[in-house]
Amino acid sequence: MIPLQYELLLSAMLLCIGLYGVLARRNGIIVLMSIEIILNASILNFVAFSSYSGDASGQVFALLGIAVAAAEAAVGLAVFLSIYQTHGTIELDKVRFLKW
Amino acid sequence: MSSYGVFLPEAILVATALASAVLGFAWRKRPDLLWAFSVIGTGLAIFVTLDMMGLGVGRALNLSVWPSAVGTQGDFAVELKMRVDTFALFFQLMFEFVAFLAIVASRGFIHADEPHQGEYYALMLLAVVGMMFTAAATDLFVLFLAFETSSLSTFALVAFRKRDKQATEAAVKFFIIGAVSSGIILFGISLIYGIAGTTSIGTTTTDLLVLRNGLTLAGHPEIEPPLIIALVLLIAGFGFKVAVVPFHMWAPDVYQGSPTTISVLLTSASKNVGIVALFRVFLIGLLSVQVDWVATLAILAIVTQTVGNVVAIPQRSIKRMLAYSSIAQAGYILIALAVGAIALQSAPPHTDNAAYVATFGLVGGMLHVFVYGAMKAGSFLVVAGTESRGIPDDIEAYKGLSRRMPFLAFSMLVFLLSLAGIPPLGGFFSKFVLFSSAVNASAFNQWYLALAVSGVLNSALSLYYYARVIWYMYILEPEAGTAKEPVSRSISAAVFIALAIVMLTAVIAVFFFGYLTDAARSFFGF
Repeated sequence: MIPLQYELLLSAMLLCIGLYGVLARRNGIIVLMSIEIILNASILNFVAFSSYSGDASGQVFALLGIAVAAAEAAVGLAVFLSIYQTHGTIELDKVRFLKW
Repeated sequence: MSSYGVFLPEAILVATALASAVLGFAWRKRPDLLWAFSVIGTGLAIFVTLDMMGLGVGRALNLSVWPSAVGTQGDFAVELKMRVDTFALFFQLMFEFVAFLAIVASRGFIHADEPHQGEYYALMLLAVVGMMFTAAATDLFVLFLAFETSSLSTFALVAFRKRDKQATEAAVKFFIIGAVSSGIILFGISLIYGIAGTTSIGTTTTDLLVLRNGLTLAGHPEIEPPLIIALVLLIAGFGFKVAVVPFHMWAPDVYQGSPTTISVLLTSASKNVGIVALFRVFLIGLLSVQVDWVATLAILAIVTQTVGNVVAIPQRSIKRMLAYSSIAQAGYILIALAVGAIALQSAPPHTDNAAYVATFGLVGGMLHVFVYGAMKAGSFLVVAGTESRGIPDDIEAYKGLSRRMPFLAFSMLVFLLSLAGIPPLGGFFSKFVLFSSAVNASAFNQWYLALAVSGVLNSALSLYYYARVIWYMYILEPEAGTAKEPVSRSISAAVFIALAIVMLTAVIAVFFFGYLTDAARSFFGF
């Protein structure tokens, strides 16, 4: 079996990649994909811990987490579609109407 | 014995939501029917909740139709990982109440010919159901799922006017921030889940009570580094939802851009759902590892109050000003979190000073959450009332509002003074309890005094920008005509309910105080 540390390292890397994508990329769809990567990092964590401790609840959490990620993607795509219709772009740095 | 009857309010709300989504097609030309239907559903849920709290009509007439929360009837900690106790019911009542105000005002605010009204009411009610389950959750993951239910509904609600440029932009910002913070929270939960396996608990778990008893640093110092990472992620994630200061930048944009009835729901209910989640996660689940988080949250409370109040001063838009003031108010509520952490020092009979101070702090937090909900919802409803007459939310447009809309101007005056904490009004009593609990807590650690000092100074500071709005409304002459303008009756009714609560808090608190103390004690398990 692969040691637990490797899986945790992988999930930490996925978290960092996702956060980097959210902060640095400007395209709405890529930001949405980065958010999915963050969620998948935690799902991987749940599965890893659950399989190494023999507690099945982590795998149930993983399935529910996948459902949450899917619901979030659906709402997110709808929101990006509506901003495309009002602003004509999903480049997030071109969308600046509200600011202090 | 537990009884599924305790979920009756949620069942009523879900049924109303689904029915109004379907009826939205049939009643496309009759939005007033949809409105009445949602108002009745929410009112019924509030009625049942009040009865379960033992404060409603049924208890007064000595009927026992619904299960009562006082006792073990709401205890589903084993089957569903939820417990509908007095603490949960209090927050559930608050969420239903804010939703009720927002729904009542919707009739005057949403134009009769706007599309998708069935979905509007359905999403609003589903968001409230998610919030209510969050208040009842006893497991980190169940809490997360309930939290997501309410977040996903509010993302869609912000973009309800999907042809409005400001609304869609606010929705994009809200969605990105909300989704990233959910991801961060989930990562933090997954770490806690794994950490629990290496402690004396012996198995991986996310149950809050098990974590409270088992997750200690004593004997397991090796769990501290991953635990700190998990705590940082949880504080950041929930901090985004509550708009605590380093994570607050989204809040003014979203509150300003979304339809004002939705701003009511976001600022009063959605923010408080983050607060209740913080209470559950930190004061139950992570209470035993508090050396790592109390100081952080106390500093965040002070910074949040100060930054919120200072940045509110130069704002010209009333909605943005109210948004920054709601950031500051969240800072006051965080005081309860820091004071509540003293509960750990209380020994088993739980009649000592530590138990007293922790209970007192939590009571202050709950009271402030309730009064804050009423006054913030009320002030945003006033903005909704003026907006529906075509007055923009710029402060210049409020010149001489007392001549044009006397009732709304008077209500705004009361809400603003209450937010600042002027004595006969609600905000004074809740702030008094909250700040004096911080003073009492200084018996354990003198740094708690800083929380009380910062709270009082910030309240004084906030009076400056509240008074400026009052000055515009009452002293300055209106530019265009002094003729009275009619205000939508439904918005006036909603404002009136909030006004009554803020003005009569002193009376209501007499009935409530014993209930709140019981709730706080049962929350800590004293």
